Amino acid sequence: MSRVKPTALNSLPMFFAHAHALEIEAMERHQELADVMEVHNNAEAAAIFQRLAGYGEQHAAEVSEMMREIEPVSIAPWDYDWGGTEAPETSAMENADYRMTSAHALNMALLTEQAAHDYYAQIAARAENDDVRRYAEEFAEEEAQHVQYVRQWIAKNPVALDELPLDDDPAHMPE
Amino acid sequence: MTVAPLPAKAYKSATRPVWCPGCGHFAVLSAATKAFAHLQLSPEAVAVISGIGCSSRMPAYMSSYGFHGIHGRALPVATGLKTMRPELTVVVAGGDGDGFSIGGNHFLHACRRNVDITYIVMDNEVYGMTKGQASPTSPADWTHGKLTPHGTGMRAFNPAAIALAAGASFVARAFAGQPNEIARMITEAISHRGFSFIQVLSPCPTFCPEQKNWKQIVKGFADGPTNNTEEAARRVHADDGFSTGIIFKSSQPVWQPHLADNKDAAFLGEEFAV
Repeated sequence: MSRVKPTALNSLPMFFAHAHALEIEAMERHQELADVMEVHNNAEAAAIFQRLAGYGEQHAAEVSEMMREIEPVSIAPWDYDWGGTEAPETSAMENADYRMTSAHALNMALLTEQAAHDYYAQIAARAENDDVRRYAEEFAEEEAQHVQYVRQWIAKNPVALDELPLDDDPAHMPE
Repeated sequence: MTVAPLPAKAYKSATRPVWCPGCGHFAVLSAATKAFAHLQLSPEAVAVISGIGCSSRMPAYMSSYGFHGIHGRALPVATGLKTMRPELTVVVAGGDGDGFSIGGNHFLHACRRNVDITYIVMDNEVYGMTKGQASPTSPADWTHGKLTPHGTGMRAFNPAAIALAAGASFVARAFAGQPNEIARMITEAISHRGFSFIQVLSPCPTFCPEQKNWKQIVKGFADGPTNNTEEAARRVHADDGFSTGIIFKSSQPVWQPHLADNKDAAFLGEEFAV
């Protein structure tokens, strides 16, 4: 028997299960990044990630509210249809560095907000279910607003992104 | 009353990891919590056992029971626990130095013994906690360690091949850049009856920044798991060490000693009284 991968395109329950997981994953990664930056005494980046985690929590609650009347579906973590290895709004841990500035953190956020927008835009373009298409368009629009918001945030903090700040006394020197 | 399923977050403790930002071990922590949530394991019915090293801090970051033991000895502790408390789900977490060098002999015999435990090795090819010495899986020409400025000059240990040769009944390789795939493998490994071994390629951004390139070279094995040891060995030896997937899975007798009914905690206390 062939195994059919769940897809956000199929139905509203599938769509909302993906939308909710997308926000939860983003929130948890941003919280993880906030915590690790705080542990490494990088209060500047920690504050940004903490704020982003707060937005993720808020958005997850909003999606939860929207799906209150929808029959929940259970999807294994590896079966989500993300089109990549992780949910599109999840910042890549591999891009984090203890020396990163608020500009680096915001740039990470910009990439993921853009990816979330593209994800919903693709669903809207491909969906055959009218309800899924309508919600995907709405969510894509919302993510586009987040992209604009992060861009404005970056504009207020114009810091060069080229290199990480030098650390004259790194905690981890090879011995 | 319907009990809401436990989310992955419920398996994390309030202790914040001290791993470096960018460390691959975060993916394994996330994957383990997702696997536990998928299986809906009760946190009090799970024990995460470790030795020493960056990755061995794992039990502190999880809400299940844990035992942060001594260097290289996680597998004997886990074996003892599982044989006395077979109803527990026992997961061992550690690194390449802890598991393949200092605990190397325990690794061989755990594979051979086939106790029903899951062993996750976060392999970053370096001793990170002691600040960057070559480990058994370091490439022969890795020159970044101050103790091996000209490289180790030794062929790297091949964990999957050794596990197969020693008799492990479940052997898999994963990559930290694919946390949901790791979650799937941990779920399958826990569900497998017997000793299950997962080598996770987990980049160390601090001492091996070159491992950032792993994302470009990691690929999946062409074929799914086999239950044929020779075929699995052929695949592992033909591979460059960067193919991921469940390599080998077979049903083999699980070692579980008969527990005498009259051996209670008081008896054990007397046995170990100093």
